[in-house]
Amino acid sequence: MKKILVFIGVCLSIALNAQDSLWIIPGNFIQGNDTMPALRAEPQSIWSGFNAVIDRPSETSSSIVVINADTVAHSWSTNAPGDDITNLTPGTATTISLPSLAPGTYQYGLNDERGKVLGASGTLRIGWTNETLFYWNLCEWQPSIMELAADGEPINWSLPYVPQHFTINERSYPSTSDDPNALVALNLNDTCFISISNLGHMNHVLHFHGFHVDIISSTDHPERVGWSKDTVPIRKGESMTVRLIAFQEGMYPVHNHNLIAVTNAGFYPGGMITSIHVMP
Amino acid sequence: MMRSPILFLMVALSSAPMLSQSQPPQLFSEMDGVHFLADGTALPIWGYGWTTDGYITLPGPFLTYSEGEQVDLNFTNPSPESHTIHLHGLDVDQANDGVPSTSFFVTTGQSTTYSFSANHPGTFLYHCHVTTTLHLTMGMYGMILVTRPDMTLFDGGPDYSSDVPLLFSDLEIATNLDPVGSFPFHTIRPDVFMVNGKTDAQLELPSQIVNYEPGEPLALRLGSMAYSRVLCSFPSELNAICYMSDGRPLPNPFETDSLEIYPGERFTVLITPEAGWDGTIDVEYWNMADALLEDTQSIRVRDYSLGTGEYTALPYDGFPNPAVSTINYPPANDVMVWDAWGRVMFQGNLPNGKLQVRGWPVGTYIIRAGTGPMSRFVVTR
Repeated sequence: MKKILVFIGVCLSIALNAQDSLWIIPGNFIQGNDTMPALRAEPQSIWSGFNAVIDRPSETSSSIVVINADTVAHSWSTNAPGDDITNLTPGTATTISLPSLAPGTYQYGLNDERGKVLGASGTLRIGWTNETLFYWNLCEWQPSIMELAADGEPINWSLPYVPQHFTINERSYPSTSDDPNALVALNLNDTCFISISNLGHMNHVLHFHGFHVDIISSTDHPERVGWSKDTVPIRKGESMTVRLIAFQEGMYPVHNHNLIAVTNAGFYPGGMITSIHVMP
Repeated sequence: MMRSPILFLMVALSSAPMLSQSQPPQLFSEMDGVHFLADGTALPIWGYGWTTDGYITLPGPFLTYSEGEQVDLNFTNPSPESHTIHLHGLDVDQANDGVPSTSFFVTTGQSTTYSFSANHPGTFLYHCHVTTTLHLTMGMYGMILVTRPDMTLFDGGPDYSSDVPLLFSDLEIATNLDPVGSFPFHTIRPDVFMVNGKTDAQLELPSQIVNYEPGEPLALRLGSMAYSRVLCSFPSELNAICYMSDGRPLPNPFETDSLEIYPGERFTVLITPEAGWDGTIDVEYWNMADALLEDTQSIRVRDYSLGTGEYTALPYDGFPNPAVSTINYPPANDVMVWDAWGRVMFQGNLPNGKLQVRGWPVGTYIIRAGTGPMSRFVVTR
């Protein structure tokens, strides 16, 4: 009982500064007719279904407290170079050091099989302050695999992988239009930066209608920084930042060009689609 | 030095009709096309064609424009369903973007004009954006090139002698045979993997071979409309350098021996093959979901001096030819006869040299005895 009270106390104190804490929380992820067991890295101690984004200044070490409210142990890491794995004991709060990083987009999350399959991972943005920012967490979901992971059963990854749901920030189109972080709303000639992370188990590729974007950072392909692209691969585990200059007004889709990923449970249109709205 | 450009034009022409500015720029869409695989299988396709030709192709017509050109692309849709043309990578305005929800449908019987400025030289694509997952795999796509008259890749870029368009794509036979039954779409898994619509033995035809003259760089215009991840391997003898992606110069061109191309991506790679080389660019198709290698196709690259690279028609042989009931050959064993779709019509021995063709459909047939040369004959009524 004493341990539980201490745990609750820690949670309450941390809740006063959500920026510096995350809760690993189990819940149900509902997409169409599918209700899937899921985990999220929440900014507060209640289930919202969406992973938090963490912002930090560049070239500065920091820390974050992660409270594992799941019933099993997990391990945590980022895709920052040389970052260590931290174990998270169930029911405890763990302070994790975040390394000093160059400006750009990275990702954090659980990297044990259950934690990764159930989707507790998100974007770590470094070095952005006054810019117009958006972020897109890309992920795909196969309900049968998530059920196995939730039950602690082994997953046979040699079987065909056939995800049924494809999301940006844990939403499928058309719900992506309700997400101010996914829907890029700009005025003409504005410049914005979009942090993109592939948190799934397969490679993805986004096509921008109406615009080319400049690659500003990439964890996996730094040699592509400076490239101007309209079709941008984001490989499994990769994070990148792109810059978009709104040179023309109008409404333009951005979508996965692997066209099975623009469906919801097989229905078109759905999945990984969002939009750029440029107002005059 | 004029021979190789002509040959490369032949490559493009053989894969899809080419637009020159003297032709009426009127594309149309239909849903009743047929595409033949290397084994002779006839697949239903949807696609684009020139109204002047009257038929659709996979891929659709290859479109070329000059940098700075103001383009009006006329499009008519007599097919039973709505279609559009999305000009992939050309950054056109919303009205010309070809997305039904933000632009407009071109419904049955309607015509329209897509207008844009070809401001950037490079490699682009076009495709239908109606129920894209289905319409694209059914064949509604093609490649667009924007080139410079001075034969440089871009302002300040390297010179080259010819464009070699290489459009990678794939399809699932079951979907093409039964598009309505292809639901749910997320289970589409391609099983035919193509370069300019050709597969396997079709890529070995002389018209598909990329011929070069030593010292004359070729611009490989690589684009993917596949559902797969494409991996191209460039042997060191090609001296491949990647200069552009998605219609923009790269800030840091790089020598390459392999290049990943994701769905919708494009690259421009200059090759300057060594003299006397005859080899292949191997193209691997990897499933996007579970990262399994599905297929490998090969593009032949050959020094022009090693062969003409020109199409040689099979000779007519046998008597009478055309034939109505019987065609006579020298007695032979292990004889095979194929129809124009590649289907085997006869397999066996001809001890008396007489091949019975009465009742065969009117058309051209190919005959071969053992490993001897092939020849043609015609069945008529």
